[in-house]
Amino acid sequence: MKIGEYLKLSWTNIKSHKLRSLLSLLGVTFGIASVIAIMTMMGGLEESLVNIITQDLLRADTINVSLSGSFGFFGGDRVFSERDVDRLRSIPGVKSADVAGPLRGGALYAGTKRLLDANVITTTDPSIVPLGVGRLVEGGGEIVLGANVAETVMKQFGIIEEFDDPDEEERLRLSGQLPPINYEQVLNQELRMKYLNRERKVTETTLTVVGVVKESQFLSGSDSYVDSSYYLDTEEIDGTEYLVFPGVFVRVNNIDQLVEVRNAIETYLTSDESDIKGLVGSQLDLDVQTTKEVVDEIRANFVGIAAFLGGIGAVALLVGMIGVMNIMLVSVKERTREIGIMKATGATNGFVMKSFLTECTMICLFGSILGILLGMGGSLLISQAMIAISSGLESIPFVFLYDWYIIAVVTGLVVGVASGMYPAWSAAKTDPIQALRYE
Amino acid sequence: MLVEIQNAWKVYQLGKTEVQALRGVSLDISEGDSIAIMGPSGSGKSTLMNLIGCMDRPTEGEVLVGGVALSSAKDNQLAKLRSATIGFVFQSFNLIPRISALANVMLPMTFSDRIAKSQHAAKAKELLDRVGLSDRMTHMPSELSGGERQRVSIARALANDPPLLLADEPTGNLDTKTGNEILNIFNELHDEKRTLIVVTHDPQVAEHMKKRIHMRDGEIENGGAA
Repeated sequence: MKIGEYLKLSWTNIKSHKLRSLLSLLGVTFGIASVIAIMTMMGGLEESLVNIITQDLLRADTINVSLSGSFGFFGGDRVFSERDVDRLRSIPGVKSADVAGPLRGGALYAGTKRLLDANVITTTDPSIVPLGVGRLVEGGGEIVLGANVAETVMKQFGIIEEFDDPDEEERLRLSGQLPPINYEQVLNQELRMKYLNRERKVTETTLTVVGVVKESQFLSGSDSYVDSSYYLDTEEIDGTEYLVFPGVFVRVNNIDQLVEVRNAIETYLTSDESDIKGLVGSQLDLDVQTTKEVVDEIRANFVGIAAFLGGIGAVALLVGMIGVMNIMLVSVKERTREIGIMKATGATNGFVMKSFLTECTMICLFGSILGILLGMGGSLLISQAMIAISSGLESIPFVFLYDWYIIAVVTGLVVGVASGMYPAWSAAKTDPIQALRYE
Repeated sequence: MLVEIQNAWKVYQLGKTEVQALRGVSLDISEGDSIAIMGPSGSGKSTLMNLIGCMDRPTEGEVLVGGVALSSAKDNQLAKLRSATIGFVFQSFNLIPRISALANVMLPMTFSDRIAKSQHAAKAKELLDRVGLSDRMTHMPSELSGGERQRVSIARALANDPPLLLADEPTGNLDTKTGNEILNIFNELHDEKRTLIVVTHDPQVAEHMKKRIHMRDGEIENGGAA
């Protein structure tokens, strides 16, 4: 008998037990759907995070040096001395080595009011700042504001309306009843900044807003950027005061040398020549990573989280599979007499086995296809829930995960065969004489 | 010889008791025979029928159907033998309830290569027509009367043109009139030189057969040469 006939016969059987087939199908559907929904959501999150990192923060030709676990750019212990940075610049293949770090004691004021949650960061390479509007700082007396800081400033200066209830404001903005914030309006406003000077005395200066950082759910809206001349954090090394930074980013002349340069940097920084050892007295755990490695690490973390969440989905699938098996066993029992009739009229054990197996596999295959569709829809719901419970996330893009759809269909087939195997075998082994007597 | 039964024994273990359902039965059935197997409940007539129908193997002795020895045949060989040689007609009809009369008749054809796939429907229609059900083909078994169901079951038994028809109390669930109609079909089939074996309690049914075998306690009473 040809496969087409098994399919036809199985379809007849499935149709004649609509409710039961549907229920067992749903077990598989929900299992597959939960895995697909989680993977789609995680995939979207991963893609948008990786995009922001590769497009707005890091470049492919960049090696990021920081203490393990901190992203030097935004903070961490200051262990990289000015002298070490200079020495990194002399490594063959290095195009530039720039530093970044938060200004110690930096505080911003709009008029007389202190701007809370405003970090002031300085960098020797202003071009790494993901700019939204305006321009980058070109020297002292200028500042590029984080989007949240810019909003607060605009409210302080009465450029935009201040709401008593921030939730209400967000709702109005999302619904389009309030226009989106036009950050251009904050340009050329003047702020005051207090910071510690070289003598570690509080100094005050006036800064003109020249730009605003891009608004993004993954960028802290509180980071504002000023010229590197304000950075005066020093440590005494070998009797001299050197500037010290929490992170260095090195760019290479030729991207083919990336790994080679990375290794050279690592060798230098972990050697006794480096100031690090003298500064902290012990060997530190350093991250010297190319952008690709940073991204790979993020992706690896996502794989871990996805595996955990997907595991929960897999349990749902296992439960569904047991459900299918249970229903197939009931089906076999219920159709005992029918099996007897088929055997008496010439059906072989193989035929009986294959017909039950085909039926079960068909149910599971439909279940998994339905599960893929349901999972794609469900990911939108999970994304909404994820956004609701997390702070800062605003949207998770939808991604198509073709690999996972194939995996889901194959899983459907495997689950079908696995859960149908025992029931089909027990059907095939049915004694026709007993089966015909079965009431 | 279509069927040769040589000193066949069938012994079951029923809990701790050993049941000797057949005790050395010998019987030859030639093509064109029409035989009634009679006897009280527990006399072994159903067991004998299961052996002739290739549904079972003898514990001892041998049963040859179409020259094939059942005692050493594999499950699949028995299935092929049933498909090629035997048409069953049951007391309780045993139609598959979820499919039409026509589909029920076509079913055995799917288990055999005897009839080309494209001819299945035509052949099934022809058989239903011959048992007088040309206007009932698309009906479900539940929509048919007992007599009609038994006609479908006869048509199904003839699907692969088997030489041997095996009927177990074919009129047991029918009233006398309907039962007679079924027996008339059997008479016609016998006239076409088909071999008929009918297991029955009913002497009137047995009257329609050329030979009668009486069984008691797992043995044939009136000699196995029938």
